[in-house]
Amino acid sequence: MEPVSVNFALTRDDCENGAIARLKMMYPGKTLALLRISGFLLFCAGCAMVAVGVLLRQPLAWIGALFAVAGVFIAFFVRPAQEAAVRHMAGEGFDSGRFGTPAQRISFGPEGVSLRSERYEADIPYGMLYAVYSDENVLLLFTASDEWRIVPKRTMDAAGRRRVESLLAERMKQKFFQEGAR
Amino acid sequence: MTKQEHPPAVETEQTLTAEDFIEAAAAAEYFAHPMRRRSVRAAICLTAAAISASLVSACGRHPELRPLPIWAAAILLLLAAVFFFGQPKARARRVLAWLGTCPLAGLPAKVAVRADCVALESRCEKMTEYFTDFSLCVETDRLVAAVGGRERNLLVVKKEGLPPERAKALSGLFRYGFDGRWYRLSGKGVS
Repeated sequence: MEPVSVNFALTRDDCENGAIARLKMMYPGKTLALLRISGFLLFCAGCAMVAVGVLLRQPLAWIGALFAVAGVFIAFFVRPAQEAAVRHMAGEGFDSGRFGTPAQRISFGPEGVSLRSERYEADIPYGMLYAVYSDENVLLLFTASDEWRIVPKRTMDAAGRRRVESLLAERMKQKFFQEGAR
Repeated sequence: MTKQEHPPAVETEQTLTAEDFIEAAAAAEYFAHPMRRRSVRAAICLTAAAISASLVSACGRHPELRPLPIWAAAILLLLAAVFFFGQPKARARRVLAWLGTCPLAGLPAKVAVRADCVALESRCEKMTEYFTDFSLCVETDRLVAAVGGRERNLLVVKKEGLPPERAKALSGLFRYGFDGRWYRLSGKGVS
């Protein structure tokens, strides 16, 4: 099988998309749903406390109002706040060069992935990768739990994406995570 | 303009073990985060416990409140013991968990330490890490650990097994390259 190779220079957008993808990997849909349910429950508890406080003329109403506001924040604004913070930090990281050399060449072969940049060259068998995550914008190749490389999907055509994803699904098995396919 | 002369490069071969990474992580954390040292954390807890215990006498008019500072002092004492005795084990567990996710870090590698960078080559990887990218470097009796690399956050170069003159040259290169960000940790007193 011919390896699928991509040449690219990482942009600020790619780094931000990569950081968002990592956030999605760390906090998948189930965690988000759990967070929303807890926020909703807190909101309901807050509303009940407000009602009881108003009826009994107790200061409980103020605490209830605080609970309700916290519940709304947890249910609806935690994720957007996280995303905004992560985007900001990724942008700063790109500006300070923390994402490494922008120009890279990555090949997905039948046995492993090959990475080439100015300071880093590697031929890593799929079994030695920690994980691979894929969403609509990027592929994240994890060489360790805290080391990942961003492969922007804009660098591949539709056929290339399909080939890479089927190759990764076949070789990485449980270690290949696709957004929306959990 | 005169050309500055750099010390000669030192080349070595190494295979890092879990113990090396645990020691390197402990040494690096000791200087990178002084407030996270177990002795500092335990001392903070002991001070808070002492302050809490001293509040018992302040509860003279309200004897029903006396158990509160006593309980707080007991919890803080327990926390001090947890930090002092449990922190090294927790760190070792964390490092082992990381190493389990990064089999590349444990491969036998050729290391070339130069005046401004380290080049590592294993059967899967070849990387060059410049000293300017790292935040600090700590040298112990057995190894040199640098934190904050672009390709690998924790870079470890073993001194153990090297002839004394080469170990000294290696140490000199790191000291020269990191200058004010170079630290020395003697003995096994890493906490």
